[in-house]
Amino acid sequence: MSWEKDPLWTKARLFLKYAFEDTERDDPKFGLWCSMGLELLARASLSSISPTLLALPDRNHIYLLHALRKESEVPFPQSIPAAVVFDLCKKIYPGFSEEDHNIAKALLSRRNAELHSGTAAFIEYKSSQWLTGFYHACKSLVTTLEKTLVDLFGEEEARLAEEILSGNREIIKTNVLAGIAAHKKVFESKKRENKEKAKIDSEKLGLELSTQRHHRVTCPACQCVATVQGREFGKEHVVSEAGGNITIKQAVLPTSFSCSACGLNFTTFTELEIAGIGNSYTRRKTCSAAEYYGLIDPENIDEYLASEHGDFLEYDNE
Amino acid sequence: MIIDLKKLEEKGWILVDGISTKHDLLELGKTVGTPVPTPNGELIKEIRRLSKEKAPLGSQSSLYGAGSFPLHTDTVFWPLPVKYVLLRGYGDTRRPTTVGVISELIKDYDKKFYNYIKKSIWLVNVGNKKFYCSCNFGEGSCMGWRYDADLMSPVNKEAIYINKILNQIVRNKVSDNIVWSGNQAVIIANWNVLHGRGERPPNEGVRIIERLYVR
Repeated sequence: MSWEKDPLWTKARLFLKYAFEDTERDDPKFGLWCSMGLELLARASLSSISPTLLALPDRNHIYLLHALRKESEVPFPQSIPAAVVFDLCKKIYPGFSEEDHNIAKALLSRRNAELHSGTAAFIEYKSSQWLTGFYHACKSLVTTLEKTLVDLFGEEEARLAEEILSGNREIIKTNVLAGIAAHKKVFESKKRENKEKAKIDSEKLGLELSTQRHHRVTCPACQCVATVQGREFGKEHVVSEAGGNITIKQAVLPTSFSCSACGLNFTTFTELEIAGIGNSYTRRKTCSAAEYYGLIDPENIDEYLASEHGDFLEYDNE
Repeated sequence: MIIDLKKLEEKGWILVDGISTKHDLLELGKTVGTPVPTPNGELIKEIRRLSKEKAPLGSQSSLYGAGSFPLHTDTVFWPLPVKYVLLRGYGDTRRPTTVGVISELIKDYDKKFYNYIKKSIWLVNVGNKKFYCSCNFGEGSCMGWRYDADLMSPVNKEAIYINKILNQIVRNKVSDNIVWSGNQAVIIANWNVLHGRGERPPNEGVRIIERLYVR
């Protein structure tokens, strides 16, 4: 059994690759892989001090000796439970905050429910509820390993995580909640017929915008139909290939919100997440196989070459 | 026994004269770290040429028989490979031990190669030992490399790319040949230098290599 830092760190990266590259964000497996990756990351972090921290205490120090490489014949060495791992991280690393600890334990509870019961634990625990905290906990732990989020997630995901983490959460939270309360108050003070009309109009507009790369959500202030827009991220997933057409699903991180009924607006993911409308969603698009694979029509090869290379006479040179 | 540790650090391997017994080799090992036994309990293992059939499963001999061995990191089957490998050769010593300093072997590769090395994920699969690892790891303030084309398989696309390149390197390049002469031992910095076995000379007699692992 390997409790050394490098195998644990590598396996954490592998599980997070399964989450971020191989799984769609709205798939319950996304949360499961993230939770398991986080646990391995925390174990790697403790192991960087000493693998002995991971050994389950026992009267004869069997597992401790195994961690010290003094007892290699233990068939199934037992390590401390994940909850203790996170408790130790909190005790040892000042950077692993109370919030990091809470989100790690919350994900752990969901993971346990997912693995040890019939509950579909991650279906109801949407990534918008935990992703920011998860990124923060990962950042706290990679720092203890003298690594970065780029080392853990790769460039693209790390950039997104840093962007999300960059805002001052407490100030943003106060502003968002105040904004929702103010718009709610104004909307509720309107005459009943005006509210009804605004609701009907928002439904019409929502339907129209949903065909223009908007995604419909419920406004947290007036409960009418509003829309979010966002940025595509992560891997494209081909869901069907038929009749020369390819249908692709792509995750979208919402980054702006607008409600036509009460006028509430948000412009960052963090605001949307605090307002409870930060769930990532998927966008489907269908394109031809030629478009998807970037194929060139042989009939138009001259046109293509001209557009790519300008004057193509040089090609005749040996 | 005085060892030029600075030279060992800079060059990655050094030859030490005056090592004529197992005891000498063990004492030499103690000057650079803590000697550790091999998985079967021996502190100093005598390695002899073996045919594929007689070699233990998973060993280089079981794959290459009496032929040459590609360059490799020793003890990749441990989550943290040993820091030093000490070897002493005697008998028919015409066949050299090959060494490859990793930084030299990969110096001509591009940014993509180095970027992929950091991202690569590997699986060590030796008998009942199976674990994930990186090929470039950090331990304290030291950086180390781990590569054995036969015992490590690539897990992600970055590792597949790196494996194609390293697999060619370890089979076709060497930095130096250690030609055994008299009472000498070599200390190899196993985290930075790969080693292997050279081509078999005609009518090779008994060639014995004593090996000591040091953490």
